[in-house]
Amino acid sequence: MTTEWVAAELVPAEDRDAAPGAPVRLAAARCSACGRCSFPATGTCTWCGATGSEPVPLSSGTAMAATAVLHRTPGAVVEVPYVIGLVRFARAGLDVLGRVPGATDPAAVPAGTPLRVVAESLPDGRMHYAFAVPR
Amino acid sequence: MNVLIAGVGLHPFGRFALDVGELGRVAAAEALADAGVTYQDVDLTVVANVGEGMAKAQRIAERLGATGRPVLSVESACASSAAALLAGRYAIESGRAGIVLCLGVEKAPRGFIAGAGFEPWQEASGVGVTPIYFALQAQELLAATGGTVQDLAAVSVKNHGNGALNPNAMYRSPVTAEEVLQSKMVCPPLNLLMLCAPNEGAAAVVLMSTAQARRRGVTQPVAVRAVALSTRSPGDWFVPAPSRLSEVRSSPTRTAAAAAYREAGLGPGDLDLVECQDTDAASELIAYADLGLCAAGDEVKLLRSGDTQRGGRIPVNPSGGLLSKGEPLGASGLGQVHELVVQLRGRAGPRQVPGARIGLAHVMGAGHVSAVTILAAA
Repeated sequence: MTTEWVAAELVPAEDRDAAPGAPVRLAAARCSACGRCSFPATGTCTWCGATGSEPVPLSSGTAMAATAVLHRTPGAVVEVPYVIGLVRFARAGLDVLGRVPGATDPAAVPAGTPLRVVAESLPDGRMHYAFAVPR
Repeated sequence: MNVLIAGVGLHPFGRFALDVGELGRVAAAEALADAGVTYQDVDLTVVANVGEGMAKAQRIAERLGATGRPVLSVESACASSAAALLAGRYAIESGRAGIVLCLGVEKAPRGFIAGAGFEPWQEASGVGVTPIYFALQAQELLAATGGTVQDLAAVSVKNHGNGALNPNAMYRSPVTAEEVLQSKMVCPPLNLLMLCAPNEGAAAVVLMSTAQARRRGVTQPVAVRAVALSTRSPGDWFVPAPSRLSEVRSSPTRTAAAAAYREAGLGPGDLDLVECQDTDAASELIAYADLGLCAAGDEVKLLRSGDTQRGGRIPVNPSGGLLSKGEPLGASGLGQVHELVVQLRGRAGPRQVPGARIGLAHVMGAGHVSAVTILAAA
């Protein structure tokens, strides 16, 4: 049985059997025409519209800023409160938004905090990417 | 530019037991009367709205009469009103339309704006929430400027103070910094009173060519000096994008402002007042630099100087801004234009900016849309 992901295309195929909390990578792509990275990798470059690209897996980055969601929002399956981080992946030149499970106060994730991409099991049983402080 | 505003109209912003068509009709009728024309004279109607369904522009315009003339719908999130103005301006300039009615109208539900272009995975996983974008850019602004939550509260205090003088605003009571900071926390560092509330309302503008206005003897026209609308460039980041480039930071507001100043042959130093997109308190501060009112990094310094207060060197949001008026998404931008026209005609009563001759309006919407309009007393 394969694990069901909220959006499987966000992580490389070989990472989709990861256990909750285990490291995974984000499936970004570097444009063959302009050299800039896009996430999600939709097949066309977000910035120049070209179609050729190389996979760029993102595994660890640094928090740039964080906030929290304190009130339930339409369509969300996650429990409030939770922290959202904007995480910089320096080599790819990309900043990506994601949850930081376990934290409820953005002060727990000050700018500069190293974070790695992990698999998270959401309350509805599906898997998704999240950011965690490496132990 | 050969385009004038001949008339403006507004339905107050708030919550009303009226349908969207009636809200629009009230604003449009007022604008047509102000311009001294009837709906039969209008060559093109452009309706800005976000939340209604198919053929919304036609259904809304129908309340004004069935003239058989073209009616267009434009939707560009919170910048929809400016998109209507852009379309109207092009129609007049092309010579194909002599009189254009631009009508922004919205009846938005309470609370978080749903359907802001997020993918299902963003909504399910808890990142499809518009205030997190405002909160993260607020955190970055405070870090870059040395500002504090007191500064964010000060923006809200300023705009609510102005809104107390605006009979068309939804919230017409001044607030204190303590009240702002003690209001419900939404997404840190933004409290409820630092965020605008989506609501209901309408605003309308009648555009004419200079020749048309002269022929009709329009009194107190206001010149449209620039309308510039920009979308995302590489390095821009906003709702609903889940990622951004780390470097090459730009902003569609900077791009739109540069284009508008170039077209008008004016600079930030020429402005007498500004109405900007204060979706949240930090967004207003970010607009200070993006619109060239100060250098990047000096946003909080400009606020603390008092220059952007009513009575200051360059008042920002003398109408009370979206923080006190609320934000009927499709109508907010034409609401700003309404305020500028009233100010440039010297009819803003207790909130009048003395001697106002040139004003700028700025809206920013999801999907990286930003628009800057510059108007001048004719």
